[in-house]
Amino acid sequence: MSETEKPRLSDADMLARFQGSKKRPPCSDTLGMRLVEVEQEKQRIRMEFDVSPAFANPTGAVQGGFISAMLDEAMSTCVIIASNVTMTAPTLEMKTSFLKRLMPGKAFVEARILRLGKSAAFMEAECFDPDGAMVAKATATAIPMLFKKLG
Amino acid sequence: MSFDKRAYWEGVLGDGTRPPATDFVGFDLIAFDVDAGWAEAAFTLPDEAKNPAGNAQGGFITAALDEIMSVAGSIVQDGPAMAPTLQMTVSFIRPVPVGTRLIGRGEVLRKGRAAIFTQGTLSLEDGTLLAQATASCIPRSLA
Repeated sequence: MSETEKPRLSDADMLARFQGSKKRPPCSDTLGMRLVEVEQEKQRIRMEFDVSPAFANPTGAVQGGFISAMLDEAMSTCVIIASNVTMTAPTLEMKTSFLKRLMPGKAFVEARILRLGKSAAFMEAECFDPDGAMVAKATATAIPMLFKKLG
Repeated sequence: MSFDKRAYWEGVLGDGTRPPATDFVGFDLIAFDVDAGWAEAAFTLPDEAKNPAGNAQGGFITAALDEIMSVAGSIVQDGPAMAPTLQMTVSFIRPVPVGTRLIGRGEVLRKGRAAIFTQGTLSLEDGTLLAQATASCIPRSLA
């Protein structure tokens, strides 16, 4: 892996690099995503989201798939950062437990790497409401792939 | 009981007042069977769901599957009902395009008194399987 060839940024610089990125994919903007913490040592990140009322189910709460979307966003970004921005990792399988209702508005997700191997990555993430209550928890597997001539 | 289950669900799923999440994934009902416990709908994911590779991000695929599987879990119950999802596992088998008509199918595997088990698939119109899911949910009567 080229991980060792590339100098690591500090956590603060990595955070700034992502926050200032002009190449955000549409899904990140759709979810109102903002990376707020990076801890490379612990292979952990934290994001906040502005969840749109456009994702409400008939009860007015956020439909589960959109909670999965936030968890997926955080777990995927966690792999990119853990690989020192050398790899991306398309999700193969993801399991989400929906513990509690989440209403549109602010939400927070913490994601961490369980194992980042050459042919497989294992991640987990939790979603919290503005009161700090855990509303969902997910685990996922992904295949790490080198970025093609990117950054 | 004079409750016409089929007519009720035709109203809700067809031109009924649709929740925002249903519109976001472009839900378009194809067919359903309240006795056998399955439902099919077309979905078209919007550009807003694109990941860096230009395909649909996994969570939005999950949202489409959750919609059709929740419909299957709802229509097998006795009256007006919902089926809040407890847990769901999705396998992302192939990249899912945005702006393309997809076919979603949800099926009930078991309807218990306290739990309902469902499965679902999302395919291209030519039948190519893109994603597959299983879920557990709880029956909740709205009557």
